Amino acid sequence: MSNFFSLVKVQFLSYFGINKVLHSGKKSKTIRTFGALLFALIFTSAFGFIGYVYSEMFATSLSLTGEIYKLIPLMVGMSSLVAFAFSFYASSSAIYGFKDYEMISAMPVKTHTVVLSKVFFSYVADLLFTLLIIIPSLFVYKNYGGVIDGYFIISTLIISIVSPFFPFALSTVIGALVTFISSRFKRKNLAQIILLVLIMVGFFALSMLEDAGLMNKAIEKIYFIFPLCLKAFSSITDLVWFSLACISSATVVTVLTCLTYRKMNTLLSARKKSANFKLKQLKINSPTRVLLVRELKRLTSAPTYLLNTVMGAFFTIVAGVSFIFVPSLSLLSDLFIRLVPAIFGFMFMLAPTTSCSLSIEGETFWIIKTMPVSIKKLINVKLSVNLILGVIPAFISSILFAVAFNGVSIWCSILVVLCALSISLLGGNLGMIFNILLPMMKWDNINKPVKQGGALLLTMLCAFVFAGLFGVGAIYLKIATFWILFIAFSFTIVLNVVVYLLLMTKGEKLINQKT
Amino acid sequence: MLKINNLTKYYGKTFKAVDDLSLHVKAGEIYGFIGHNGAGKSTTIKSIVGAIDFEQGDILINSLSVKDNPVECKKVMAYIPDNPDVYDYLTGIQYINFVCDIFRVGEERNQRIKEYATLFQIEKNLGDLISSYSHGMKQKLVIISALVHNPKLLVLDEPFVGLDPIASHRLKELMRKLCDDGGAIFFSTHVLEVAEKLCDRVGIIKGGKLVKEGTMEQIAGDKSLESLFLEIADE
Repeated sequence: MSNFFSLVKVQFLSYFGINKVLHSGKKSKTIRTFGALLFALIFTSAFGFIGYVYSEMFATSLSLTGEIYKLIPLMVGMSSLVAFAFSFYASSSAIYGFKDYEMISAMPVKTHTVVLSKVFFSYVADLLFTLLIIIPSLFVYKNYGGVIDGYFIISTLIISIVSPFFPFALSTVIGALVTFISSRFKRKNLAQIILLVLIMVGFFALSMLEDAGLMNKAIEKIYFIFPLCLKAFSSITDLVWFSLACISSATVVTVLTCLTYRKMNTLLSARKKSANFKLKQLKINSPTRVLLVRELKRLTSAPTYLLNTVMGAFFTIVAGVSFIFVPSLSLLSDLFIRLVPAIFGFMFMLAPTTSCSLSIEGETFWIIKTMPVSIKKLINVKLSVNLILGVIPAFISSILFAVAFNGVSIWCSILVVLCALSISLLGGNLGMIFNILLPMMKWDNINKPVKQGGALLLTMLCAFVFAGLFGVGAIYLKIATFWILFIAFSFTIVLNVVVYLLLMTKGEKLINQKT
Repeated sequence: MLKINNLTKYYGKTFKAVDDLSLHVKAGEIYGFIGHNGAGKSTTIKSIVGAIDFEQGDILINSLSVKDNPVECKKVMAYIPDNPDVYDYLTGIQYINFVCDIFRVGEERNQRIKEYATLFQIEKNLGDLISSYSHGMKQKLVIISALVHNPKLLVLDEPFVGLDPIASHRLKELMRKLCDDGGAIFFSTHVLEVAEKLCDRVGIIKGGKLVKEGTMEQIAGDKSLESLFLEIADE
């Protein structure tokens, strides 16, 4: 048991950088700790808010048919979907392929202890997602006149604790299968990315259905995941069966993981080598082109990096396409168009590729630094990646938005496109300057620069502030939609020019100082 | 070829990693830079190649300042680090080709890559992902990518670590050839026998300061470099 706690403690200290803060004694680390706590607060608040919004949407639909009692079981199902998506996303790196595997496997620690210590973190993460979705939905449930008695409280508590076991089990099984199959191929990361995208697109498309009839179908589909869940809220027997089903699924998967742990890690550490290369005539490219290709290849080599930075843009396009097929939304054209700056600000400024593109260079940055490549050129190449993966999707999705919400003037439609372009550019510029100011060059796990960097925190903060300001302004300011869009466009264009000039004049010096 | 004038580098506000260091490496010369762990060797090397900034002094490569003309200086030099951290997601050939494109190596790259890859016995592995390479193979890859663009100044940080005996021998031959062709080499090593046999001049750094410099005869006389080094370490 003590080995289990020792492993959990070491992983906990490592994962959250707590040990660095405790032992550095530097003022800047204290500031970073505060920043990390602020980031955690923003993240949980944002997630809780999203849970609240979805609860409201479902509650509105359920209250029409007098079925508000289905809300909490429904949110349990939804939290399981979300937990599944994130668990699956992290399962292969959370359990397999850890850098400490060789060191720990040489120690007198049983395999099941190692596996349990890693499984523990997956479960805790899933539990966090579950609570972030269920707790806000409880408030919604009460607002819509839901009955809260003693059994409801106990069953909600028990179900909240046991339900994360199921998505954990499912994601571990699928993650292990994908890991096993993809370890046989060269492009294993690409396979993971494709599968994750398919799952996330399906979930997102399902949740964008606003029409009442279609929402009921979505509700039914979510119930398919947990047919026992609804009954568990009204019957002790079903509650016990539900709990047993969740716990036993996780137990079975954990046992199987323990039995296959060594084999899987052996497979993962074995790299495919063909050793039959024959040199052919090589193609010559310009330095700018190869630098850009290098950036794009890095992006696709790491699912964490790609999914974290590109998903916002991707989902905006999916949303745009979905809106075109929901004709009732054209009645809300003016409101949605007024909200375009807020929506695009959130989606394109939240995690642009540039917010970690310098950090992700990591220990290999010496290669570029010792080459005859000007840092200005490097900055422009990194911004170009954002152009390709942020600005172009922004352009496409803004056209889709303009088509879907065609009840506004042509000038508004033009400004929608211009706003989208300017905002996504700003996201890239801000991400770059923040990453230069707060680089994280030493990391042992790619999740750290991509998800935990100070630059990312600042960029997210900007996204929230921008979206909040323009969202509130869109709803409460009594000015024409044209002026809302014009102000957003003008503001972002000016900011773009200022930040870009800063990058070109100070960027090189700052990078040399900070890295 | 390489002139370091009064180089001083601080880490933090008080720790001086390199203290007022000056040295000169002429064309055709192999300069060995030796010192104890933490003496400032890697800091000096990283300052030369532009990997880190420095507070005082200047570094000139062919009379061009590394601070004022970094890109021009880097065009004529190559760096081989002690730890070959390279892009795991590329294949060996993709990485070398990337380096060739940055340094604008023309069609002659095909011949050079073939020549060096055969010499270091990794030609067959160039099509594999770098993530599948052993440490030694990565080191060989970095060496090839450093040599493929014909640098005038080669800066190496403990280049023989992880290399098999054949590769070590071939690297030494290439180093000598580069200098015979008018280039210069500045490298750090812990293997004092290599420094004794290979280097035209040696500099010993201790606590960030250059304490001894010259040819083997000038600094060691009849003693071995190891004895001299141990004497200096005890002082």
